[in-house]
Amino acid sequence: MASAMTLLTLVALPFLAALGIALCHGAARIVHSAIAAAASAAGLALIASLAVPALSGTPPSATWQWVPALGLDLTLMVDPLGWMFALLILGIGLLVVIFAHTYLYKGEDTGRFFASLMLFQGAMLGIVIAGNVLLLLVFWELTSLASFLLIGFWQHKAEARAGARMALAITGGGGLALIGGMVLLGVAAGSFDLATILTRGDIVRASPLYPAILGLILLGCFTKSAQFPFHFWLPHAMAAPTPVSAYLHSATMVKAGVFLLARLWPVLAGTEAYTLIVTTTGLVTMIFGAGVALFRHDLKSILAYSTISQLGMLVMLLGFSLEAAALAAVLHIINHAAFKAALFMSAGIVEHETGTRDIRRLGGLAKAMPVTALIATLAAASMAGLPPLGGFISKELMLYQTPKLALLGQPWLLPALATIGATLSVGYSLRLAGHLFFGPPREAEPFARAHDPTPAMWAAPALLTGLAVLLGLVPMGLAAPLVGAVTGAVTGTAPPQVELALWHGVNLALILSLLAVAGGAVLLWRHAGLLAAWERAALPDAKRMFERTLGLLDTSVRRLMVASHTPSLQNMLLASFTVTTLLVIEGALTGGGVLTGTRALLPANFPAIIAWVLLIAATLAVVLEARNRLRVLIYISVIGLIISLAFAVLSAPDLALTQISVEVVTVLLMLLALNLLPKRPPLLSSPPRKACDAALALAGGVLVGGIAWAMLTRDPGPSIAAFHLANAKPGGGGTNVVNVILVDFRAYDTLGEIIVLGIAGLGIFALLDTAAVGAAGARLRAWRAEMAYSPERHPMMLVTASRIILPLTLMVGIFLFLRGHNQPGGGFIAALVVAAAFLVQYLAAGFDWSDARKPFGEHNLIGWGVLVAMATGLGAMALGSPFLTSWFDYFSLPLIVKFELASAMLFDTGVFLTVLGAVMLALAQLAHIGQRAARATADVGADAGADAGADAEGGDGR
Amino acid sequence: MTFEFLIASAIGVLVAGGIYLALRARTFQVVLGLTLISYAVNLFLFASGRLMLESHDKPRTRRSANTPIPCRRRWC
Repeated sequence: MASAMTLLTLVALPFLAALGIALCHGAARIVHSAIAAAASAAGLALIASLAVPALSGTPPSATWQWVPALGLDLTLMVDPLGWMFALLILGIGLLVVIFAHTYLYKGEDTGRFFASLMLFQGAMLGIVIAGNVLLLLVFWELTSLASFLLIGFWQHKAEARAGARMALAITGGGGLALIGGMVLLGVAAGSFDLATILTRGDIVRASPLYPAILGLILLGCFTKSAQFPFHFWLPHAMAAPTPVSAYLHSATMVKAGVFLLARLWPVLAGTEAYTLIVTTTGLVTMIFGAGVALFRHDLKSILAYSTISQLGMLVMLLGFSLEAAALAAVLHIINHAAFKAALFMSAGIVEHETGTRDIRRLGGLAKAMPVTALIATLAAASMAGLPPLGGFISKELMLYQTPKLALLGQPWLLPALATIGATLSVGYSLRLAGHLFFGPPREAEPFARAHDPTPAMWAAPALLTGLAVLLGLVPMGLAAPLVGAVTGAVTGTAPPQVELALWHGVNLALILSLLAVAGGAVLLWRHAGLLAAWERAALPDAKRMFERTLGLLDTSVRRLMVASHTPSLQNMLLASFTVTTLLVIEGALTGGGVLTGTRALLPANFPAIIAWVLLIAATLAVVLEARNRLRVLIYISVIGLIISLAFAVLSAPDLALTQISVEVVTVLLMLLALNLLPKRPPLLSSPPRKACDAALALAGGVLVGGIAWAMLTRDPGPSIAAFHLANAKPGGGGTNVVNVILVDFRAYDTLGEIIVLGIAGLGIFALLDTAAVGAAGARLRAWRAEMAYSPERHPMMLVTASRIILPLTLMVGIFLFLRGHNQPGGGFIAALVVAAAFLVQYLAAGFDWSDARKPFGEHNLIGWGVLVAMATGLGAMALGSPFLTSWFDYFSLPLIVKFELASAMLFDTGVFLTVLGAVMLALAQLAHIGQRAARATADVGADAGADAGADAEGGDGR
Repeated sequence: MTFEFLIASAIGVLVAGGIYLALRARTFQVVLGLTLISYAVNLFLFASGRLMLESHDKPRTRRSANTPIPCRRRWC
């Protein structure tokens, strides 16, 4: 358990540090960098404490369940491979933090910088110690996002934004492919646990899914590790601050792809397809990157392409599927991390102290900045693979392995191409050091400014270069045990014997290496001529191609959207109705079976048939008279009434009550809305269009009616009604099953629903409240009533009747509410009835009169309703029952007989308040806006300024 | 004539009218069409619990037996 906590702390530390830095965002730079450095150092200490268990062959691991149904566990595991990467991530991370502290310019947002950096560190750390492939994916995506923030740190620079976007598009896109690959891998292996998957390599390679798994995972790795042809994001990511480049492109981001290749080596490697694809990609990338690096002028661009080239070499080595090649790759990962981070930091120092990164303007800096020159030259020599440095040993090992693989059946091909790559590497490394630090200064101005920085700035690269040197001088002591253990973890076998030395005797590798060094020297000597030739050749620009592709995608998607998603609701509805109708027809034709089932039917009585005739006639009238808007409201209320009657007759009194009260409210709503609409709209549709719509409507009606008929003439399947009937009284304390369902069985549902209703009410309020300003307000003010108003705006009869009705209706509402638990009624219905009572007052006596006398605010009603309902549910929790468990008991009082008290009643009160508030708010607003428009119209001639004032006042008063 | 036929045909007629109105190019007509369709949907959902006439000789708890749960979501 101790190691479990260590693992959790290890991965959580950077994230906590990021949070901490973000929280003290305004503090001084030293606070931010100190937090970041402390977190990295603490992580280093933790990883050091894990060295013995991790490298001894029983990797510490810990598992917490996360989403067991998906196979996603929070499994952390530190095996030698993960340990080595964690060490690099934290160690170089610490150095980068120290370097960045002095590198960042005055006034830069260091809080954001270090917070993003720590976020990235945490994500990277998560990748290398994740013990579950799905968890690994989570961290993988997180690195893409965090690197986006880091690369785009200088938000004011267009190239930083473009570079960040490109990196995100490429690595994020690859990440999508990787998700597919990993899920397939988990399916093929039967587990998402990494340790389990690693033991099932044979099963995965034999699986028919293997080609897809391989392709998708390689796509993820190659995009992340900037392999050709996905390399182009990396040079553009150089728009990032140099510490970020040093971190992302030496030990972390781009190494994630290499890490994953190594991680999944026991599962994926060894097949012909794997060897061919991975080796070839790595080889092409290595030569391509090295060749381009030779001719770049920006220091960071040179380093970027050299990184691409070095990554290509690592990928190629892993592609060999040989243990000795994997060993060479592991050693080179360490070497590359050391010398590349040192070189990036040196480039940062040069830029910091001279003001330019253009190698054509620099030169002879060894005189001006000797310390930096020493550090960078040694690191570049290691990159070139010169003895006695670490890079020499790994390059030797690489060249030694090349003849073992006959690419395209030609045993000489691979050594020859690898030697060309090595030659180019020597060339660009020598040029970098030579043109930068030696020879005469090319321009006076940068040279005059140049000087060595403070030790705080060169300490980090010096340490790394020292490491690169020592890796060459004492490889056995420094690297061999680690490399052996890691190689064992990569191949999934026992750790091999590791023999690392500078001198192996004269063999093919040495000869090839000598050739490469000699060739590199020639390249440096002839560089001017080669450069001229290179610049004469018009080469395709990957960035422009990327942007053109993006642009093409953009326009075609736009075109597709416009074509498929027309802005006409009419056409969209026509399309969806047509497609649905055709689907139903297809189902009916191919489904087989008969239309009419065998259930015993209920014979209809005469009143039912009369009601049916009325309903059909009213529907027809609605369709035919749709343009006569006032009359159509009467027809539609006939339909609603008949449907309420149907519910009542067919044993659903609750539904009937709800329907009739909703009907009243709906008609009121429509009346209010109609006020603002033209009374007789113009004809728009042409006769053919109408005929087509009518045919579709007829088909749809016949089909839905047929479905209803088929359903009604068959017996229903097993129903949950019996459960509700049996438990309503004993479990919920009520005999009205519908109400018990609402407030008890499915109270959670109801709670969600009243919240939605409340939000809808507030939404309507917000929309209509803003309608008074801007274009909508202008339209509203220009609105003129079409019909003459009655001279008596509030007819005496109506006002008097409505005031008599008010208390009666309120009483009905309270009655319905109180009896709701046992007989038809309840909070919802009661709220609608009460709302209707108030709305009638609005209609009869006018908005202002009613509003001034209204004892409550709708907003408060909604808020209190939701709170009361929630409190009822939480009350049950406080008493130790699950959320929203209802309680009830029976009491008796003198004079009044035995009665029941139930917490459901309180919940129903919440429902009542919210529904009342939402309905009143929506309808009153609609009434109000009509009023406001009418008032504006009346005032328009008099005084425009006062009009605006009155509007504002009206808005505030609400 | 059976209740089942009346309900099924009423649903069909409401849907037909609703579709036709929803396809008009006027807001009010579309609202009317959606209203008709929602009547039909409510009836359909209600009917999916099958029809049962009110019978007074049964205990009161039976009254609501046939009410299917989704019916109350008529607001959404």
